[in-house]
Formats: sequence, C-alpha cells, structure tokens
Amino acid sequence: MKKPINRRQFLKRTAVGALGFTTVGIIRSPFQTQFYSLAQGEAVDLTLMMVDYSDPVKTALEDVIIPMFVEENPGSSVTVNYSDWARYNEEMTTAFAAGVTPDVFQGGAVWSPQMAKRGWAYDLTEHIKADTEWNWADFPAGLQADVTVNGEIVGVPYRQDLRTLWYRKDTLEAAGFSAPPSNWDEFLEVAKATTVKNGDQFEVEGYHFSETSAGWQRDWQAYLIWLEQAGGQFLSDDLSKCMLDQEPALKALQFIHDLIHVHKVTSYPGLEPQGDIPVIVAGDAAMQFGNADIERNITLYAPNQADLVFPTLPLTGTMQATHSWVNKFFVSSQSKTPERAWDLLRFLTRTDILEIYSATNNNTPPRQSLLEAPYMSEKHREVLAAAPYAQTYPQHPNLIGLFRPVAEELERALTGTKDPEKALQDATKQVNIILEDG
Amino acid sequence: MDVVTQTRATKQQRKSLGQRLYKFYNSQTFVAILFLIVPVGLLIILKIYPIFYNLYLSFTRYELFEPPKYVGLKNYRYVFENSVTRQSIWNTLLFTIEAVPLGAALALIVAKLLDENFYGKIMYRTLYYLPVISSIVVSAMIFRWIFNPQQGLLNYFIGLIGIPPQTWLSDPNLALPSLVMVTIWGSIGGNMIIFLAGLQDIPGEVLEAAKVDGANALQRFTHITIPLLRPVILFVVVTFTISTFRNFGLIFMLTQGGPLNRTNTLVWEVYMSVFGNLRLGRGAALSMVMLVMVFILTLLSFRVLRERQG
Repeated sequence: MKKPINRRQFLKRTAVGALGFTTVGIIRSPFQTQFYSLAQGEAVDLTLMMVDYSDPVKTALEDVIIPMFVEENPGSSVTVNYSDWARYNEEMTTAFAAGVTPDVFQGGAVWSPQMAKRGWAYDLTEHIKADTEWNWADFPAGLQADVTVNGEIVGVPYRQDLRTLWYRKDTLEAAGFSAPPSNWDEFLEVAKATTVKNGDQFEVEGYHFSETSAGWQRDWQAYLIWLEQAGGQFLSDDLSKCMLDQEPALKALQFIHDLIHVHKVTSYPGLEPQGDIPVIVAGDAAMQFGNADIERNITLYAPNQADLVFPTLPLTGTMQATHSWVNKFFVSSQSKTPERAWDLLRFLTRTDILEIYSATNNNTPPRQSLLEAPYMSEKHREVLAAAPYAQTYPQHPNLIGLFRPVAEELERALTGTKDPEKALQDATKQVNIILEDG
Repeated sequence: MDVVTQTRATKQQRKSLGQRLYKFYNSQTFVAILFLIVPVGLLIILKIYPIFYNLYLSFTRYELFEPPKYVGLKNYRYVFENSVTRQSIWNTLLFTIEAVPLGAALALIVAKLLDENFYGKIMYRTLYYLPVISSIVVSAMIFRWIFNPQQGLLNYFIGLIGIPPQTWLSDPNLALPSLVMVTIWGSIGGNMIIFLAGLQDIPGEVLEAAKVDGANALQRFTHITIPLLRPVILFVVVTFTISTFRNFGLIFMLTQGGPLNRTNTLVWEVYMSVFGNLRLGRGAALSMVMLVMVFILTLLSFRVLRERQG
C-alpha cells in the first residue's frame, strides 16, 4: 500500500517544485524575446498609448477609429491604453527602461529631440517620404521642422497647441473698448480699465497670467509668449548658450512684473480656474492667453459663455508672436513590428481620421487640408490664424531640465523677492551650467 | 594503501555523502531553509540589492539610455553645494519637525478621548479612521478645493472670524504649513488606532491605584499613561517620521515643490532629478542622503524615548 505523504513532506515537495519552476523561469526569460517578421496584411497585436484625449475622443477611438483600422487591416488588433500628462513622462521613461513600450504613443512639445537623443523614436523618414498619398506636405513647414531632428523625422504632429490672446467681449465693452488690444500699450490700457478689485483682493483680473494649479512650468510657459513678442529667444541658435540675459528677455519680464506690482492688473499667482472652467470663462479675468481648449471647455461646461469669450491674434511687442506647443505621435524604437506600428500611426494621422480626433477633442489640427473642416468653428479658425506668428521650442534634448531653473527664477522675480534683471542673469548662469555639463 | 582499498574508501565516502544529503533533506534545517528562501530572496531582490545598486548609481552619471559613467563624489558635491537641493533638505526637516510631533500628539489626544466610554464612540473612531482609507489623490483634490483662494471652504471659515482670505498653497509662508495640515489630517486616524491599542494595554489597576492615591486625570495621563505608552509612542514617531519623509503624493498633487521651492522636499527633488532631468545618479545620491537622514532621525527617536523609558 502506498504510504500517504504527511503535511511537512507535502509542503517540502511543493516548495522544491516552486523553486525549480522559478529557477527555470528566471533562466529562460532573457531568451524569450521574439522578433516578428510579418508579411503585409498579416495579423498583429499593436498597442497605442493616448495621453491627449477627452471622453468624446475615447468613445470615438473605441467605437470608430480603432474598428476602422482593424477593418482595413484584417486580423490586426489594437489595445489602447490611457494616461495623463501629469505622470506621462515617468510612465514612458520607465516603460522604455523596462523594454515594454507601446508600439505607438503620443508625446508633448519637448519630446522630439529627447526621443531622438535617447534613440527611443523609430526613424520614420523613409516611410514618410515614400508615401505620397498620405501627404507629408499637408503639414506646415514649421511643424515638420519640429519633428525633424538631425535630418530624421521622428514623429508626426497630431495637434497644434497654439496659444493666443482670449478676451471677454462683455467686460471690454463695459470698459468702453469695442475691439481687443493688438499691442502691448493697448493691452495695458485695456487691462487697467477692466481690473476690478475689492481692497487688495482681485474680483476680475484685467489680465490672467498664470495659476498655481497649472504646475511648476506655468510661469515659464506664460512668460515664453511675452519673451517671443519682445523678440527674444530662450537658447542661441546653436543651442550652446542661454539668451535670457539679453535685453528682450528682460523687457518681457519687466513688463509682466509691472503688470503685477506696478499696474496691479493681475494677481500673482493668479486666480484659480473653477475646475475645468478657465478663469476667463468664469468671468474672473478680462484677458488671458490660451489655446482651443478654452473653446472646448466653454462647449462642455459653460455654453452660456460662448458669445462672450473670443480669441484674437497674438499681441505685438517688438514683433507679433506667440508660441505653439506641437504634440505628436511616435513609433517606439522598441516596437517588435515597427512597420506595422507605422501603419497604425499613418492611419491615425490620415486626414479623415485626424479630423475625427480633432473634432472630438476640439483641437486645432496640424494638417492644412483640415482648416476648412466642418467641425472648425470661427474661434478655431481665429486661433489657427495665429499659426504664422508661432514659434516652437528649440531642439535641445534636455528642455525640461533647462526649464526648471528658469521657472524658479521667474517665480522669484514675479513674487518680487528678486529683481527681474538679477533673476534672469541667475537663470542664464544656471542654464549655461547645465548646457556645458551636457 | 592499495588500489582496491582506495576504491572501497571512495565508495564509502560517496555513500556517506548521499546519506548525509538524505539526512539533510529530512531535517528541520532543510525545511527552515526552504521556507526562508522566498522571504530572504525577496528581501535581497527588492530591498538590499536596490539599496546597494542605488549606492553604486550615486557615484555615476546615468541617464538611462547610456551606461552609467563613474563620476566619483560629483553627485554628492552637487547635493550639498546646490542651493535648491540644500533647501530641499531643510524643507524635509522642517516638514518632519512640524508634522510629526504635532500629528502624534493630536493622535494621542484623540485616542485618549476615544478610549473613554461614551455614546457613539465607535462612530467617532470610524470617522477619524476614514482619511486613512481615502486615496491620497482624492484627498489632495478635495484639499485643493478647500484651499482654493476664491471658493475655498477654509477662506470662508476664517472669513467668519474676520481673517482676510489667504492664498494658502501659493503663499510661500503658508504652503508648507498647509501641507503639514493635510498630512496630519491624513495620518491622525492610523496613529490613533495604534495609540488606542497601546492605551487598552495599560492595566486598569494601575490607573485605579493612582486615582485612589489622589492623582487627577491630567496627573494620571502624564505620570502613568505616557510613561507606559513610550514603546508605542516610539513606534508611532519612527513610522510617522519615515512616512513624512516619503510624502510625495501630496506635494505632487498640491504644490509641485513651489511656491519659491518652499515645499520642495527631498523626495520631490529625487523625482525631479530622475524623471524631470533624467539624472539618475543625482537622484540616487539624494536618496542616499535621505536614507542617512531617516536613519539618524530614527536613532535619535530611539535614544530619546528609550532613555526616558529607562
């Protein structure tokens, strides 16, 4: 008769077995990477990471866009994952470090040079140049340049985040202005006339500069527009020197500093938005810089404000300018099927699909052929009219690292704890140290 | 020794090795080793190895996409020479010094009150414990509204007693105290439960004897309860100190290190170094500094509370 095993023996054998399996698993894992070589039309599972989306985009993606791709590419499937900008950078960094990246993913304005330097973006140049039907020429030259690093096209723009001046028509009219300002002098006049204060407290900011909840880059992003209007630039053309100690940079910062501390037309930090309702839409400011998201948020959360808040062309300081944050799709260099990942990226940035995405996300699209798309409202067109004046970030691979000391020094100058000139000199010194350090 | 004798000896040796192995397989030591392999292995893989790897990284320049390059003490020099990182060390200490004693004292007072017999004490215990089970993100979102300068509840309440509205999270002087407030709110329930368990362990006879001897409630609390609670206080102080050092979620959600770097703590600086600038070596050096600081503070807590206990 077979002797039954006791509990200790059972546990012992189980533990030995588990250890054996674990050891085999650990030893096998480095050899498990598979590389696919697929024939055209062959089935493949792709992953897509979305960060720039709203609920309507999610619905459109899952109900329309992805089913269309699957229909055009029989047998293929696409898994869509969602993230948010607040944790996106670290999420993608760790994904690349672990070698588990999505095949296609969205990226922000500073991503092209960073992706290229790290070798994380698949070079799309050959695909794009060979594909006349998809039409790369439909993207404006400025946007093409933004995703071209050292001659390689590393991404495809899906959105122009253009920021221009928005104003409240009712507030301006009540103050006796029939048209929005077009230059710094007019701007100051309007801002002074529309500011409403109760003692030291702002009830309406003549101009809304920035708010705390917008994160640590808020002042820098808001200042950048003024810097560009003053004719300044962040880095020298060869990217070797910081240019914030130059006259235009100081002129811009001094102007904002005076708006806060001399003319007192904006608080610092500014009034907070009410959830997703921007300060200007809530009626707490007469003017602010913003992108087409203001239009989206009016449509979604404050439709009664639609006839009161409008965009206009960027202001002219030394020159008429604004900034464009170009968001783009990338194909991961770690994709096991980069050719098929390109198929997905190509599909997502095709005119008809980009129109669905842009319409549901209320974006200003990157393709010129979409300028007359039915979903484009007058306000969208007005925002896009700022495109010819837009500048993009310099192509340095460590922009986030360079922005940080600038953001800190700007905060010091704007709180009045440091003289603006000294703050810019200190920022320049710190940025130059980082630039020299590589 | 001839060849035959040698072969026999070897066979005997083999046999005895097999026997020894079989004996070991059936021994309690083998069972103990088997069951220790997993936890010890996990401890090595998840705790000890990362600490030493982190120590190694702290002497390198490592940007993830290129192999680490040895740079000696450069990262440590940066930590102590750079004004922002120095400020982050100071902010961390300030945050801990403000949050831990106050939070622990409040938790002890609440625990003492909830240790008494009164109607609805279970409900109060539950209510005080609720923040512990709330997600840090949700809590932070709620507090963002509470601290909102225009529509915030806090400004409404201070307005009722004639204090003008404050900008709380945007005010360089109020941002850190605001975070301390939220930290204490979030931790009071957890610490209260530990204190409550400690209070219930104090023998009733001792307190009864003190009462008979004429000690009033305050005297019983300071001369009987507190001394007997010292091991529990030590535990709460040490764990609360460590969790305060690691407090990242609130800073990420509410202030992102600002305004003017006043809430820029070590853990935020590590995050910015690693994910903002991709300087993993610098982040590793900051982590080592944080480790040493926690270690010193823990030792200090042990020394102070144990000496008093003695």
